[in-house]
Amino acid sequence: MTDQRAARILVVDDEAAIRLTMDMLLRRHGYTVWTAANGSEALALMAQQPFDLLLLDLKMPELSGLEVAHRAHALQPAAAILILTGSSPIEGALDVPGVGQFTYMLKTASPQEVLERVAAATR
Amino acid sequence: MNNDLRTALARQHPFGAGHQATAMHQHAAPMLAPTDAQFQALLESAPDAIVIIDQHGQIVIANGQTERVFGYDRTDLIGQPIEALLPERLHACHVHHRAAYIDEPHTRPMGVGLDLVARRSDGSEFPVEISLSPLQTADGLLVTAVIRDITARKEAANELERQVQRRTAHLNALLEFSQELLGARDLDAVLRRALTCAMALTPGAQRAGIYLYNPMAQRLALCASTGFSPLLDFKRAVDLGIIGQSFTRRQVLLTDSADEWLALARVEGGADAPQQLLQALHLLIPPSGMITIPLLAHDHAIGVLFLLRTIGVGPFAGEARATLEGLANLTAAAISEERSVREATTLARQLAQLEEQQRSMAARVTSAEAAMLQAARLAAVGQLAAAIAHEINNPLYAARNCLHLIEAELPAEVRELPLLGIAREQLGRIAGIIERMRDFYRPARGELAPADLNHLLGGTLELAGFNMRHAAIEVIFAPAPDLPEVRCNSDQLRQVFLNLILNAIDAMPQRGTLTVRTLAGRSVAVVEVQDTGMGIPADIRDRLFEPFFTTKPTGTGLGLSISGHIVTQHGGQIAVESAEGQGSTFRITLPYHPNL
Repeated sequence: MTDQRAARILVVDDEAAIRLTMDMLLRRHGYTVWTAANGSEALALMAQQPFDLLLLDLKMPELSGLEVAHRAHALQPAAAILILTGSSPIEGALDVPGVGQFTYMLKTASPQEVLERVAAATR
Repeated sequence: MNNDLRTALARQHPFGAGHQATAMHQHAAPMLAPTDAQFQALLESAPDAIVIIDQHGQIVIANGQTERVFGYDRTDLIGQPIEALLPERLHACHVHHRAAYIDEPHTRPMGVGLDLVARRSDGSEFPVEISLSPLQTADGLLVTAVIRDITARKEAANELERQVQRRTAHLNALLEFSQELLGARDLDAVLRRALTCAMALTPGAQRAGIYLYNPMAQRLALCASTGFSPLLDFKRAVDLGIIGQSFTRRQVLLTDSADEWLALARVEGGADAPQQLLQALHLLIPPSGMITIPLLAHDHAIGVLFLLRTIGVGPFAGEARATLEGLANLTAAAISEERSVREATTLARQLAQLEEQQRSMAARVTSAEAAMLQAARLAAVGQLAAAIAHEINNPLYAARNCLHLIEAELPAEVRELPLLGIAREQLGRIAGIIERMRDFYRPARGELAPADLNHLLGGTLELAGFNMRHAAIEVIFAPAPDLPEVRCNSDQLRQVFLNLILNAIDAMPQRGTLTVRTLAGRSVAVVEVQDTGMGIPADIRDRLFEPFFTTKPTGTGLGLSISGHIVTQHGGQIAVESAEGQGSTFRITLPYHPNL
C-alpha cells in the first residue's frame, strides 16, 4: 500500500457524525477522502474528479443511494461502488438488473470489516 | 169345461195375480162369457205352461205350452200327480206343501223369491217360477198353476253375479296393492308388486313388464319383468313398436291376435321391429293377445306396463282392463312419489353440503382475518423494531468508528485501554441485536417469488364471496389481460387484498358494486379496489393508515396499517381516493421487481 497512489474514496452519507468518523478512519489508513452530504453533492464532485471507490448510504433524502449509484456509475464506470444498508438485500433482489451489479455492506459491520472491504475494493 | 170354471178363468189374467184381473174386469165393458172353444184357444195361446190340478193333486188340465216345456203329451199328464213335473227328491216335500195349501188356499203370485225347480220328461231339471191361484167349484177346489221357465233369466242373473264377484275381486286386488305400496321401500319393490298384481288380475298372461322413461338417455328402460329376464340395461327408443306408441300417445293399446300385433309392430317400427321385439321378450311366436298401458303421473307418461299371452284367442284382458289402468295409475303415482322423495333427499343432502361449504369458507375467512390480525400484531412490533433499528444504525456506526479511532491511537500502556475493548465488544453486540431484529419485519428468506396478481385477486374475491352473500353486492372483476408477474410474498399480498375487499364490503351494508381491477404499467402493476359505499371524509382519510386507527366499533385499526406496511415493504405505494357519499377507491402500485 505504501507505494501505490492512495486510493480516492468518496463517502456519501446524510449523517455528519458518520461523515466525520469515516473521514478520520479512512484517512488514518492512508486513503484520500472526500465526503458529500447528499446525492447531488456527490454527483457534482464526481463530475469534477475521478474516484476509486464510492461509499454510499442507501437511505438518503431526495436521491436514494441506489439512484446515486446508477448515475455515479454512468459518470465513472471505473469507480467501485459499495452501498451501505441497514438490512441486507432481499434474497433474489440481487438477480434483478439494476440492483445486483453493486456491492452491499451492512451498517452493522464492524469498523474492522469496513476497512477490510474498502481495502479489497480499492486493490 | 163347466161354466163355473170358465167364468172363473175369465176372471183370471194368465200373466198376473188374480186380484189384478178382478180390478181389470170391473173396468172392462161387460162381455159375453167365452165359449168353450174360445177358452181352449186362450189356454193354448198362453206363453207359459198352465196346469190345473184338483184338491188331490192330480193334473186336470195341461196346456200346449206345458207339453212343449216339459216334453210330454198332455194325455200322459192328465190324471198324473203334479209331482210328476218335479224332481224326485222334492216329491215328499211338495206333497206336504200341497196339503198345507189345500187347507188354506190363497193366491200366490210369481216372483216371491222361491227357488223352484221343475223336471222335464227327459229327467233334466230347470228353474221355474210358479204362480198359484185357487178356484172353488161345485166339484171341489181347483188350483191353477202357471209355470214359467226362467232358465235364461237365471243364467243372466248368475252371469251378473259372477261379474260382480270379479269386479269386487279386482277392486280388492287394487286395494291390497295400494296398501302394499304404502309399505314398499323402494322403486324395485313398487314395480315388482305392480307386476304381481297385474298378473293376478289377468289370468292367461305369460309375460309382463314395466318400462320406465329415462329422460337423460331419452329412452325407455325395462325396469321390471315377469316371465322373462331381459338383457341387462335393455333400452329402447320412445317411439319404437307398440310399447313406444303406448308411451308417446299416452294410450292403452290392445291386440287380440298375432296378426294384429305383427301389423302394429311393423307399421311403427319397420320390418325388423317384430323380430327385435320378440327377441327382447324371449318369445318365439308373436303374442296372440297384448295390452300396453301407459303409466301416467301428473298427466305425462313416465313408463309403460305391458302384459301378453301367446296362447289363447279372443279378447285379452277384457274386464280387467279398467282395473289394470287403475293399477297403472297407482303405480305411476307411487313411482312419482318415490322419485320426489329421492329428489328431496338429494336436494336436502346438496343443501347440507352447500351449507357445510359455506361454513368452512366462513371459517376460512375468519381464520384469514385472525391471521391478518396476528400478522398485524407482529408487524406492529416489527415495525417498531425496524424503526428502532434504523434509528440506532447510524449513531452506532458513528460511535463504533470513534471507538476504533481512539483505540488505535492509545498506547498499549494506557490503563483504560481494555475498557475501550469492552466498549467495542458491547457495541458489537448491539450491532448483532440489530441484525437479528431486521428479520422481524422483512419477508422471510426465500418467500419472494413471481406471482400472478390477477390470480391472487380472483382467489381472494372467491374467499370474500361468502361475505357478500347476504348483501346485494354486485362484483365486477376486471383483470388486465397481460399483467406481468410481480415479485412478491403472495401470502402477504393476499392479506392486503382481502383487507381492502372486506373493507369495501363493510362500506356497502345494503347494496352496492365492488369493482376490482388491475392495470399493467411499464414497471409497475396497479391494483384498484373500488366500492360505491359511504365514502371517506377528508379528515379520516389522512389517518387511515395509522396503526390502531379505526372507525368501526369492532375494528382493530391494524388492517390498513399493516396493509400499507406490506405494500411499502414490496417497494410499492398505497393511496385512497374518496368523496363522502360517492364511494372510495384504494389504489396499490407494486413494482414488478422490488428493490431494496
